[in-house]
Amino acid sequence: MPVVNYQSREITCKIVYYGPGRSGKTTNLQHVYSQLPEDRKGKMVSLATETDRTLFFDFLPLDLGSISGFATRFQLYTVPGQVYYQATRRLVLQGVDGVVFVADSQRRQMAENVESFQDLHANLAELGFDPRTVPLVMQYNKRDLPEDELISIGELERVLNFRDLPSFSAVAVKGNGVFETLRAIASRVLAKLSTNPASAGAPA
Amino acid sequence: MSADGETPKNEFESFLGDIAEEISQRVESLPRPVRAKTGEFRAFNAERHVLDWPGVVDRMIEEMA
Repeated sequence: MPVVNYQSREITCKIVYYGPGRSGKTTNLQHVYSQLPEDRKGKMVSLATETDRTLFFDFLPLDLGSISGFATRFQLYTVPGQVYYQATRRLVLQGVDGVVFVADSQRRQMAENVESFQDLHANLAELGFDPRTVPLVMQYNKRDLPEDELISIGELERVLNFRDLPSFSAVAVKGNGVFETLRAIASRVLAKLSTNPASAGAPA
Repeated sequence: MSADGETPKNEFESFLGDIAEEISQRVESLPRPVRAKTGEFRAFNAERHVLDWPGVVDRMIEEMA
């Protein structure tokens, strides 16, 4: 749960982009990074293999500056989508405040989408989260592909979005839908903002 | 530059504007933590031994004074 820390005057939210390999999680972060003004550009940490697949994870600290007197930071992470990086995904999910599930809209990737979505739920449960209450939004990426290669939005909704979560079409490589998705997950995470009990000794 | 002469907002700035407003409202609506009172004993056992006090250091300073 994201917290307002009255002692350190900080608000920090951790958002994880989850989804199958090559669905566009890193591309989402790269677009956000490209839009940051120079004075806010921290370092985007990306650990990739020689073939540009995310090996461990990407990390983009988003410093939003001082809001209502609190230093506000969003920490954006991606997980490696490949099935064999299970341990890394679980590690990255620790302490998560919100999840963006990036689905690949290619018809041939439907099974991978389902497997990754199930994997997300299993890992959240394993870490002690109730997957039904963790803030989550769906992004259907690569919507610019030829129609005959695409899974329809209706089918994606039916198979993946049975909880009727907010969902967004995107072409992350062109930046379409990236900030809409980020705004939606930020909003859901902020709705859960609470006061940190550890800061109870701080001035009111 | 857009047709009406205004510079289009950067996507991040637009996001920041929306989210800052939301954070401000949210922070304002939260109950603020109450400062624990110091220098005041809160609990004694039957022998009048202090079981708990807010600040050990405060108590030491008090006794040394």
